[in-house]
Amino acid sequence: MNSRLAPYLTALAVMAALALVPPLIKFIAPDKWELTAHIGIKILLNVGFGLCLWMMLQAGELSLGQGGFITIGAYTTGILVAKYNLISVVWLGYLAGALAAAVIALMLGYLIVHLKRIFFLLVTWSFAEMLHPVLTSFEHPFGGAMGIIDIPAPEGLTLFSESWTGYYYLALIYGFAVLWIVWRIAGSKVGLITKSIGQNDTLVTFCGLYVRKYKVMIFVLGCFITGIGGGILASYLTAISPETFTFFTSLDIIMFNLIGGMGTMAGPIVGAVILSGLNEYLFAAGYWRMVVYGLIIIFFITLLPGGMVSLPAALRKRFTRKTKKQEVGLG
Amino acid sequence: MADRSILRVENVSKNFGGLVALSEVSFHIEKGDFFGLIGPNGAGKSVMVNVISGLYSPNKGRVEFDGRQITGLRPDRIIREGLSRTFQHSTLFFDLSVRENIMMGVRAMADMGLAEAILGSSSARSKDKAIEDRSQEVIDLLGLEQQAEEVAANLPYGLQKIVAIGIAIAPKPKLLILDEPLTGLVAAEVDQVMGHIASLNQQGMTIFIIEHNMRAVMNFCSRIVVLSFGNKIAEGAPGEIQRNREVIKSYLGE
Ligand SMILES: Nc1ncnc2c1ncn2[C@@H]1O[C@H](COP(=O)(O)OP(=O)(O)OP(=O)(O)O)[C@@H](O)[C@H]1O
Ligand SMILES: [Mg+2]
Repeated sequence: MNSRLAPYLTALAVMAALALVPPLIKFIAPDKWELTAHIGIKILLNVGFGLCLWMMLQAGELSLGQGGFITIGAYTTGILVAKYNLISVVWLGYLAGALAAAVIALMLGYLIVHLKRIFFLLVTWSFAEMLHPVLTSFEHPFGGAMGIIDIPAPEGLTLFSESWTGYYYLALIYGFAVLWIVWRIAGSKVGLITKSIGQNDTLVTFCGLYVRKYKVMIFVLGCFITGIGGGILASYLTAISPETFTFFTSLDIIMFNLIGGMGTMAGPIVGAVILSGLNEYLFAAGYWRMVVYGLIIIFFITLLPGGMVSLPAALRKRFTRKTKKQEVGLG
Repeated sequence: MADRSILRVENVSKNFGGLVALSEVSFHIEKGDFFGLIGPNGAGKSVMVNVISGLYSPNKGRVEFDGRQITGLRPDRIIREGLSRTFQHSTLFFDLSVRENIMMGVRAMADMGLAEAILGSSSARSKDKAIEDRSQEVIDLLGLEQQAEEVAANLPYGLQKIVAIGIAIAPKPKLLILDEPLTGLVAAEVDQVMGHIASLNQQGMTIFIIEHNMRAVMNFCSRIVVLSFGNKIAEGAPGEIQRNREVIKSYLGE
């Protein structure tokens, strides 16, 4: 088999398998499908968000404001297709949401993308937090504290008798489209440049490359894609308010990368699957949720900095080190 | 005369707070020269390279490269004008392979756009090929075939220094500035690195080297400038520099 085609075929096989999940579950346990679909939708959208952040992390951009870009995508869609009916095609609403997120990312990115990681994190975080009071305070166009209601499903999705089945497939396509884009970039020369920036941006400059341009480019692209996801979420939830996307939305996207590992693209995917699943239960934990998060963060940073993806290698290393120690002890 | 010189440094001064790192230093390098900049530790040699390559802006003075004023230009623009530099402290992309490190230096990297990278268009493929061909050329030139796929961090120090030179020469610069390329190398490695540099010079690349290894400097350089406490104290051919009393004093201390 052509090795260049192998990743594509693998991805297609996984996608096909995931596409078969709905009919399969409906056949085996029909009453379980709705809940499964809702979890599946969250996981697949989160995979997309996690991969976008992964791409940014490669370039050394640690953004704690991705929830803000989801919010922008969702609100733009809601405002245009529901509140004021300015756009009649919902798909175009998603595009508008993505563009809005990209334009804001462009302006913000140009100002902050060259800052040290910690400052970048602080600015993206405060930017996302700034949205809440703004959205709450203005009835027009944001709908104030009540937010926006009656956000329609995109055209064509109504073909499915149960809306969640339609959103499941939409999220599946979104997740894999993001995977494809991020994978293509990672394997390209632009991906090599991004990775190099994350390692040593001064040296990249002295390779004759304008670091800021590449960092802005990656940040804008990541936020554009995240914005589309926000639009899809707006439709799926049918109503959004300033409380819909919180600090946890942004934190989760970092956590996907932390839990799964940032070394490879598999990391954020694994992380998104684990944490999205876990979140279904953590939601019930109320304010104890932050305690669980704290423990998870401490665990991974101190014991498994490479994330779950690195677990097999870490175990192997630990195991071989032990046997080596024993050998030394015997000698 | 003017059209022969590739680099002109005129009255460059650089202060850090109260510290005068460079004080009204002027010199020029002719095309094809093997030029040496020497001086005791802290003399301001690295600061000079940082000013020339745009990392620091000078408090006074100007730098002209290949007939064009480059003071105030962004460093990446200066590099694209055809000037390359290495760093005193081993500076590489340590998690990348040797091949990837060298690719980063290739000029065509700057032309790759995001959309063509995603779509893998034919223009992207031809740029890819140009980048890969050039990096292979550099790998062959520096004898790095064996280590091409190895992660840079795993290389011995001497080879890391050679890879750093590989990144710098990948874009075929007109002027190559090397900040202490021999520090930390054993004798055999010194000969190897100097051999590479000399052959680049023979092929027409102008060399600007900063070194504490006097044997290498005196053997290879055609002209030398000596800095001490930010001042130029001597300039001339190796023989003249070796006999210069100011230079001897500054190295031995008073
Ligand atoms: N970024 C900086 N900020 C403050 N002082 C600096 C900076 N860079 C260099 N200096 C100071 O400028 C002086 C000249 O330093 P420079 O690194 O140019 O010395 P050098 O000639 O390269 O010495 P060496 O042979 O040890 O590399 C030193 O006193 C150094 O401490
Ligand atoms: Mg120095």
